[in-house]
Amino acid sequence: MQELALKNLAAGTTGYISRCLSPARADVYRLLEMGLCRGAQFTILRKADFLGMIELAIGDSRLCIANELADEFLAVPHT
Amino acid sequence: MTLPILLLGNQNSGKTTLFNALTGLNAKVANYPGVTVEARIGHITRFTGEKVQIVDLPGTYSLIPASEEEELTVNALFGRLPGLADHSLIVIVINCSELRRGLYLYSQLIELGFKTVIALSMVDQRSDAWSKATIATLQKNLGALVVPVSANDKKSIERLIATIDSVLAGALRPQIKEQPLLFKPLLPTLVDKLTLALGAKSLPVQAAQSHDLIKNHSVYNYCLSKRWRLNKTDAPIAFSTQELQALDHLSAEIPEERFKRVDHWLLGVKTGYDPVRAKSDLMDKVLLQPLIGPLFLLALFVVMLQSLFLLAQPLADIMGDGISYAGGVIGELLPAQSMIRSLVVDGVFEGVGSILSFLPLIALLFLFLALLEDSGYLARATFLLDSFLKRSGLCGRSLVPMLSAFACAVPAIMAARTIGSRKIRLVTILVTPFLTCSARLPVFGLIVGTLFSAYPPIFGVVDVGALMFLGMYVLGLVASLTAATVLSKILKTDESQTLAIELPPYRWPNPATVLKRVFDRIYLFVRDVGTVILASTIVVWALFRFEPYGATPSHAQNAMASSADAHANHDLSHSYAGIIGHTIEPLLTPMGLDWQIGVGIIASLLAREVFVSTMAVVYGLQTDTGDDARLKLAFKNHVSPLSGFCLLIFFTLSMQCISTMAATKRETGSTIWPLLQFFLMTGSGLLLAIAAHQIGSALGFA
Repeated sequence: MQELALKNLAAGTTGYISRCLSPARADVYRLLEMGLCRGAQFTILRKADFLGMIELAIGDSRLCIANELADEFLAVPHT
Repeated sequence: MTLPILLLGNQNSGKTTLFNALTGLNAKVANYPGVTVEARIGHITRFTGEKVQIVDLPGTYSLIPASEEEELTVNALFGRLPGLADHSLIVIVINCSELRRGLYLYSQLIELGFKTVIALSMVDQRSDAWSKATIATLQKNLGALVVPVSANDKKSIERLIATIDSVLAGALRPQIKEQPLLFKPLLPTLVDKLTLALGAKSLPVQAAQSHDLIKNHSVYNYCLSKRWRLNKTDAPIAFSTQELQALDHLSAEIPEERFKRVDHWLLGVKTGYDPVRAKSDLMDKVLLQPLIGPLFLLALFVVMLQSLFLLAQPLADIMGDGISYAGGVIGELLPAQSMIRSLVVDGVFEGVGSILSFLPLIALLFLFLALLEDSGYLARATFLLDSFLKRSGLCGRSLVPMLSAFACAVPAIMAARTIGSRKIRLVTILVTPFLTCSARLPVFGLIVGTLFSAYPPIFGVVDVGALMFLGMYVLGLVASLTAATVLSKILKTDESQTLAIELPPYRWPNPATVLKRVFDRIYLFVRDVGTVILASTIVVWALFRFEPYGATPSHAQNAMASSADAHANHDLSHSYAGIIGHTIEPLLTPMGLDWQIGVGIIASLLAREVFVSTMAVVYGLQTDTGDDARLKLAFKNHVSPLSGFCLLIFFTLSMQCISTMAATKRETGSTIWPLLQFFLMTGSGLLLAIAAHQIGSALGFA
């Protein structure tokens, strides 16, 4: 399956995180620590207007991440 | 004596609610030098009768701090806070609906060998069968002490205290199973370089004494969290490409390995159906809907602001009347026309009155904020507005302080605490006073009502006065967003503004937690800001009271008070206030204004609305006659419409509020920022007002 940046996925997409591009960045590292690491299953619940935040469901958690941060994570969507 | 207990946990884990349940309402807020965030300190009583200190630390997701609050938590953990050099036990609060994330933090704690007890919170929201099964499996898998707690269930609180007591007495000890080493040996040369660059002082004390790998890992993590520091060190470290790749690779690997361990602990634990989360998801479908969401948010904030205006002002008036009455009674006991009477009535009581007038605003604003935060809605507001405010270098959480500033900048600045990023919080604090607060309205009323009410409506429809009011609101907003854009570029907020937030499930706010938070805010305001306001009031009183050759009892002016004692037609020009007025006159002349307006501006440093009563005194009028026609006439004779317009601009943009500066100093922990705020605002106000007058004069409006 093709890897896509998380920010390019549409609301409603489910998939898993395959890679993180800049894990040493402090804000990206924090997301890894919040559970957005390789293999994490997610659903994109909604995307705010004007390139705003993206809300993800990871298990029972609901995590909102900034659009530019979502660019740092590659994901494989489920078909 | 037993060392303090630390209460630790993720944000929204129910930690503060548990803290309140454990300690009652006797906890106090503790400030630590160099930081503006606080921990709360209370006591629990052991069965021996001994009282043990328990510290409620700001929530964190990891031991690598990402904000000032989290840094306080990590510093407390590693004994780096004054008065908190060591601790006996850590109680980690884990929300039963967020087990994975809570256990991630727990795994970091046990890697460093801390003695811990797990308080599993919010179990009352799940079925009994679920709770029992989860707790039994967790106890077995972790070998840790897991106590289910609910703030509403006293028995569960007593059980937690009993467990803490047994651990402290040594009767009970967690049977932590030996954990496999998670991390491959780090590149030794890399670690050496990092250790050298950071110096021994940067090493967590406890980590330095523990296992080599953990020590190295801590150093490495510390470097990550302080990465900027590596670039600023006197002896920059040269990383090879290979080493940088190794850093990146390890960065991704460490959390992955930890989560694998957490997943191992959770084997056999059924997360099951979470009814609270399911309800929240349904509510979010409506409240975060692209159209309804922003409209609901707007409506909510309009109601909040209206309530602030409607409820706070009458309460502030009652308090003001009460303090004036008390001042009058005390004043009667003192010799008439004496300096001591003037000091007590016009200085001290006026200052106390100023402080009290803020309390209803602060209490109500923080009540609203606490309700929004505890219910989980504040995080949703951030989600909705982040992209809009980010364009000006702010973030979604800047909205609350900015909206609050339309009522009063003091509580607005205090409300900026909800912003995680230190730099964005600073920018928010610096720019919120640009927004038009309610104290400016009486000044606008005097200027617009006097100088622009006679003009015919534009196109027969648009009232000039209303247009002026609206224009000043827009000017304040534009100035605020422009200043935010510029400051965020100077302070380079870009790196930290890309944030992530968790959306907690919607919950009914806990009344005790909400009220405690409101009380804490009021206490901090009175303690830290109130004292500055009181001192400043007395200084301004002295400026009006004294002249270089001594006190001026014969023409004592009370420009600040209700002027029952104020004597008309007294000459203020010889007082220190008058002298300052004359001194700043060259700055006012290009706006077509004179030293008398300068005296009004000085008095308005206490509160902008004082300008109106001061001008009455300056023009030799009584202000308590209920007839302000004479004031308007005198003002009209002294100030032209063009100069009045410039004065409006000046009042909209300039910093003329000592209370706001005191709040800025308190929240930033520095005197540099309020001074910068003063020069930024007053400088821009002066420049724009002078430019407006020069352009207006050139166009023939003078």
